[in-house]
Formats: sequence, structure tokens, C-alpha cells
Amino acid sequence: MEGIVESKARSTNYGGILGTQSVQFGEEEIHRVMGTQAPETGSSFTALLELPSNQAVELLHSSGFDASRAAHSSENWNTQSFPSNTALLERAAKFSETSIETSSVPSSSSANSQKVKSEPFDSETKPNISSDQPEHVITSTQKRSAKRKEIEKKGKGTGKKIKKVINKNPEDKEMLPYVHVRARRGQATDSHSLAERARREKINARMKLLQELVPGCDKISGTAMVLDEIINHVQSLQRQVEFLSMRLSSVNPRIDFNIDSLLAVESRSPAETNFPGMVIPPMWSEGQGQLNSTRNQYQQLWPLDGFHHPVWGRQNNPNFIITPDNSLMSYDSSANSAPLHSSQTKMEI
Amino acid sequence: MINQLSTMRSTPRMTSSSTSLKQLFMKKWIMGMKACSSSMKKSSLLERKNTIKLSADLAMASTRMVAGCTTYWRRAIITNASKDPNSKHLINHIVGKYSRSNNNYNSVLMTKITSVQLHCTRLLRKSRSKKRKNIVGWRTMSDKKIAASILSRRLVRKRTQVLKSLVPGGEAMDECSLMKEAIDYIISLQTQVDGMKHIINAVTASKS
Repeated sequence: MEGIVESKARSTNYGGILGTQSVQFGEEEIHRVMGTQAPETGSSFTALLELPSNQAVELLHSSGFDASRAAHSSENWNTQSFPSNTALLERAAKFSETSIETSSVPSSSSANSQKVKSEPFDSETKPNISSDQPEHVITSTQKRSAKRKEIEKKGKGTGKKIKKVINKNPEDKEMLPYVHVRARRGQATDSHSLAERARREKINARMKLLQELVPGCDKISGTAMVLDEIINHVQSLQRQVEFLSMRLSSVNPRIDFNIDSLLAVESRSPAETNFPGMVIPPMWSEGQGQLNSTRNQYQQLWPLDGFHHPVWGRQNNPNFIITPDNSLMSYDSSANSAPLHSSQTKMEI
Repeated sequence: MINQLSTMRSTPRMTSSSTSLKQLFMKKWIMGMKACSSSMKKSSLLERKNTIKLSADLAMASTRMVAGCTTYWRRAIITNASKDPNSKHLINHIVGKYSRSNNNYNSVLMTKITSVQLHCTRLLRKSRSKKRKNIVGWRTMSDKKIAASILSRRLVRKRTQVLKSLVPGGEAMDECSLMKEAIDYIISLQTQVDGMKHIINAVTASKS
């Protein structure tokens, strides 16, 4: 995902021809090397690599194949190179943000990222883990040996900049046995450090997602502090679950659940839980005292709501935009007075 | 989904996907509690609380957001629960027989995989820590920077250990997948808490 964006972003660097550069890219290097030597020493070139020629050809063909597929899609690579999975789209959007900072590509990539973001996503942004899993399964030795071959090939070609391509082919559901990683200028091209850098970028991207998720983590800088906040958040959520279950068990020993009535009540309850005062107070004495207080709050609320229950249906819920400001606009005035009453009672208590 | 949740917290706005998820969770939880309501009449407060919490966890573990996502913590919860003989009743009701058989198969695989993974990650960690000094380029950095980097690495290491202990099934995961699991786990914990709040409010109101 991130590899695709980066590779496409960098392909725009190559003289403006979007995809075709990457097609000829591997072969150009080889041809350049072979051109310096006599053409009849082409076989010696592969001998130089200490590869049997058929393997080198196979590698070339596979990389060329991917590159050609990328070239064909280069025209409309905005849409086609990204998989149809909206989760991946969103993740790619996030990664394109991060990769844009690092690469020096002008507005083309930013335009693409915006286009990616504008795709409607209503599914979870969780990345497609099934595509990542084979990566772990594939042995690292395979990766490294393939990368070394790539390095040697390209290394013979160019003296200054040694580049390889991050190219995870999106059309394959099963991942390629090796990952091409691109080294940026002025950075180490050791295969180990490349792999480490890819891994670090992955982890950093996920840390950013976590920062967005946990409230109050945006301003904190530094991994340790962010992890602190995440741990606190998880612990508080777990404690809340325990507390709620204890509360429910203490309500009554005999719980007869009438599903229909409960679900009907829940259709109203989204309106209440979004009020600012609605946070369960931590670790009060459990038992009747607290339950009585909360019961009083809702007793005042729900007789008013009872008039409006037939008006509200479950299908109205997705359209609710419930903010203290907007509530006046979205509902009738009497429905609005109910939320205001409840917030006032909570303030008193 | 993450963006929707963050906006939900900042400006409370219910989105269709999150509400449907919550309703799924609530249904499963209520079903589970109904199933053992007979036993709950006799038992003590703590036991009731444990069954309630267990059914909530199982309901959360069995409601998946995206059909294709494979996260390990859900299976970890279910396998941990299935080790206890008392809870098989609950598991049958909430998780469902088909997925239960899947999870059994997967759990066996997972335990095998995780032990191998643990071993491998430990080996990698040892080799990496030995190589660290050469890669970081310690000749160019001053001593203070080296010390600071070592300290920060140690802090981060400690905190990832704590996170591993918090997330169910996190012991046998590397950092990368741990982050994924943490994201998913936080999202579902949040929906779990919200759903439980709804139901508790409903129950307490209906009792009055």
C-alpha cells in the first residue's frame, strides 16, 4: 500500500513519463552495463553476478512483468492501482500523507492523495491484514537474497544513486515472495537497514493511527509518552467494563430481559449518552445510592420522551447530528427541552 | 471507522456503521445473559458480575467489523474462555457453533504458531540488539545522545511490554501486529462500553 504510493510518486520524478520509465528501468540498467562491455560478453555479465543466466532472466522478467503491469495501469493509476478495498484506500491515504512529507514530489502526489481521500469510505480503516500476513510467513532469507540480487544488478549500473522499487502488486492476493524496497538518496542501502526502515515506517504509521484514536494524544511528541497515553486509555476502558458489569449485576438478581423493549429504549438512548455530563462517575460506592441518583435523572427525562417515541424510529438514528448546538434545529422544541432539562439536573447533582 | 469514532468523540455524531456494530454487540450480549439467567438467580454478586463480563467480552469478540480482518485478540479471548469448563454454555450461545469449531482449529494453530513466533522474535531481538551498536553509528554521535537513545529505547520497550500484557493474546506478537491489534481492541472496547451503558440505562429505567 505505502509501497505503491511511494513508487508511483517517485516514478513521476523520472522525466515525466509516468509508467514507461519504470518499465524500461530494470532493462535500461542492464543494457547500459552491457553496452559498456562488448555485447558478446553479455554472458559474462551474468557470470559476474554469479547467477545462472536463467535465474537472472527470470528475475528480470518478473520485475519487468510487474513494472509492465504498473505501466499499463499508469494512465489511471489513481483508481486502478489501488485495490477496491476501501479500508486499504483509507490506509493508503494516510500513508500517502506520511510519504509525501518524506519525498519531495510536488502537487501531483498530493492531488492523488486528495483523490484517494475523497473516495467514500464507510468501512473500517483497519488495514487488510490478510495481505500482510504472508509477509510474515515468508522467510526473511528469501527476501534478503532477492534484494541482494537486485542491489547487485542495479549497483553495477549506476554509481551514484542506487534505487529499487517498492512494488507490492495490488492485483495479487498472495504477496510476492520478496519486497522491493527503495533506498532514498544519501541513505544506507544495506538490505538489513532497508528492511528495518520499512518496518519502522510501518510502525510509525500505525502509531499515528493510534494517536488519532486515543483522545489527547495529538499534542504529545515522543513514542514513550504516546504509549503511556494508549496504555492509560486501554486500562480505563477495561476498568469501565468491569465497573459496568458490576453495576448491572448489582441492579437486580433476577434480570428478565425483554429484548424488544430494551432495543426500543436504546433507540432513544443515543440522544442521552451524547450529553457532556454523561460520564459514569468513577468508583463511587456501588449499590442502590448511585442507582437511585441515575434513576432520578432519567425519570425526569423519559416521561417527556414518551410522547415522542412513536415519532422517532430506529431508522432515524443514523441521521442524528446530536450536538448541544444543533439539537435545537433538528428536533421539535419540546424534544429539545428534554435534553436541556437532563443536563441541568446533572449539573445540579 | 477510526475517523468516524474520533469525530464522534469530539462532536457527538452517531454514524450508521458504529450504531449497527453496537446493536449487534448488544443483541449478542443480551442473548448470552438470557441464556444463563437461570443460573444467575442463585449465584452471588461476584459470580454474576463475572458471567456478565464474560458474556460481554465474548459478544465483543464475536462481532467483527470488516469481514476479512483477522485479528488475534478475539480468538485469544475465546480460547481463554473455552479453557474454563463453566463457560462453554455461554460460548455456545454467543459465539455460535460454526465459528466455535473454526476458532478451535485456529486456536490450535495459533498456539503452535505463537510459540514458534515467540522463539523467533526472541532470537531476532537478541541478534538485533547485538548489531545495534554498529548500525546506529556510534562513532559519530556524542555520548549523551547515545545514552539518551538507549534510555528512550528502554522506556519504549517497557511500555510495549505493558501493552502486550493488556491486549489479550498480545504476548506472542511482534510490535507491528501489536499496534494493529491495539487499534482494533480500542475501537471495540469503546463500542462495548457504550453498548453496556445503553443497556444499563435501559434496565435501570425500566426497573423504576
